[in-house]
Amino acid sequence: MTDNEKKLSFDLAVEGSEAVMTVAGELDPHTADDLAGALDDLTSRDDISSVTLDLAEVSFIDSSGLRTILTAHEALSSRDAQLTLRSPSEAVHRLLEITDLLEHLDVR
Amino acid sequence: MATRSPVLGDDFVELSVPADTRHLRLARLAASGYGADLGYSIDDIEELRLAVGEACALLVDNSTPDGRLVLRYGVEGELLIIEGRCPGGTDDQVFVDPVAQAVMVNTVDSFDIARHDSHNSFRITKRTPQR
Repeated sequence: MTDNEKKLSFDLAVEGSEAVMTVAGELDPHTADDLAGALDDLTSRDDISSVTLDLAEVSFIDSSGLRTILTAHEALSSRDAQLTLRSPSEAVHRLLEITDLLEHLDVR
Repeated sequence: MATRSPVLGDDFVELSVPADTRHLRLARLAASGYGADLGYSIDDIEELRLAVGEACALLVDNSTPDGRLVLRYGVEGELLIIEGRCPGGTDDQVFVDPVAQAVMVNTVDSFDIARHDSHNSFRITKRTPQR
């Protein structure tokens, strides 16, 4: 199995100060670093005040994926920017519920 | 040939993969398939998949570079038992962070992880569905 076979993809669209990243596939320890890198680039940009993660096509997520999202949330919150989780898949919703984070994050 | 398990006897499925994160999905896939054969609901299978992924990630994260992750899936009485072991690379107990801990508590009936002389291991149990 090569890294080309990673089961995660993401697309980024930036319009003004708002960024939308659409994530699809499996978010686990093998793939979470890729997303973390992309989010790091985004959260460190002062011209971005709002990041939306579209998670409708995430078929699997575990604690490593959730930690990646929480790290982005903390980075954005520290400079009064916003992270929104849009259309979480059943897998994402289940994990947010299990970990009691559904009420603590902006989920739409 | 796999050695006999003291708990599961000879009737178990064994999966052995390099201890690398890229193979975690195989461990999850085997858990899903085994769970489906036992008649678990889709929700229960998803919980099982999540728990096995978390447990395996903990072992892989603490593995020696050339280690192999060995998993056994079997049934004892009314319990599905999943055991995992992997050569360990540190002298410390495997750390389970609060998020992973919450996952395990809410998805399976029991989860134990242990450090031995040369390896780390876990054991997951989940009550099998009523027939």
